[in-house]
Amino acid sequence: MKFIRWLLLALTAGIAAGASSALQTHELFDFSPVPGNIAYALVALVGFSVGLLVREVQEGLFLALSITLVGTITLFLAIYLPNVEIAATAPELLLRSVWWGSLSIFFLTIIGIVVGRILSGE
Amino acid sequence: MRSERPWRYPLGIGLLTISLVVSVILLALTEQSYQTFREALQGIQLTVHLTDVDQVAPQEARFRWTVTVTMTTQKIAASLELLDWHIYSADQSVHLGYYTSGDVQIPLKSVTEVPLEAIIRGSHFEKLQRLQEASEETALLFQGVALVMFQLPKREERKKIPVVGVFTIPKEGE
Repeated sequence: MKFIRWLLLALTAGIAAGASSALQTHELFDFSPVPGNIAYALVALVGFSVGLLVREVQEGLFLALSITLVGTITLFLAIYLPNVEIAATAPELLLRSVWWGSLSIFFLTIIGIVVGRILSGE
Repeated sequence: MRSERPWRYPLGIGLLTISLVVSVILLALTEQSYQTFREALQGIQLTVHLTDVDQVAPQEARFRWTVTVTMTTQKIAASLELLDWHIYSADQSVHLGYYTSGDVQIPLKSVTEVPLEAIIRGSHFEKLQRLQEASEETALLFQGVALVMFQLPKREERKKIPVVGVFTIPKEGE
């Protein structure tokens, strides 16, 4: 039961964080209907939501890592699939976006979790 | 601690669900917009053909071309500016001048025809005359650059697209 809860949280939060993070990547930023700040705010909101749901600090940190992993895969797919030919010729361009995206997912999720836990009185 | 705040769990689940729905919708819209732009860019074709040649003065010839721009998709607003173009002999050994139509921006439809005009005079006219004397039909090369401006959600994307065409003109006096 605990595993299913963790899996569901990691998947939903990871996909949400990865999709949000993809909005501010170099490849998709100009085509996004929202400013880059909204994309970052959405990632932080995911962290905040998770912060309300976790019970312990260790669980929060473990979830942040899981969310970063799922988020990175989501982000990679979001920018790789429409750019298969760019990825074949200049993979470093996509990898740079994925690297910065996953870093922002990890830190914003951690910040969100901390804020969520503080605001909920834990 | 946890039992004291029963709103935490439903609020967390609610916010997470909202974040997931909003981010997935935004990503889908963004990907769609990106795909439309790529289709528009790949589906744009520019062709040029000579419509008219006149001798307007003893040492001046006026050339008129039509540049036809075909766009396979109309989902993204775009406009075109023909920056400049050069006229060469077909083998590019003789340069017959550099011409420009100025900063005129033309909104693009599925098929847009842009008329162009250039007057060849002076030394370029003399070179043209020599080319015409050398052969029955003179083949010339039109080499230009079109600036296509796509209106993206956040900014304008400018792409330079080459416009190349070879055309023949009959021997002078025919």
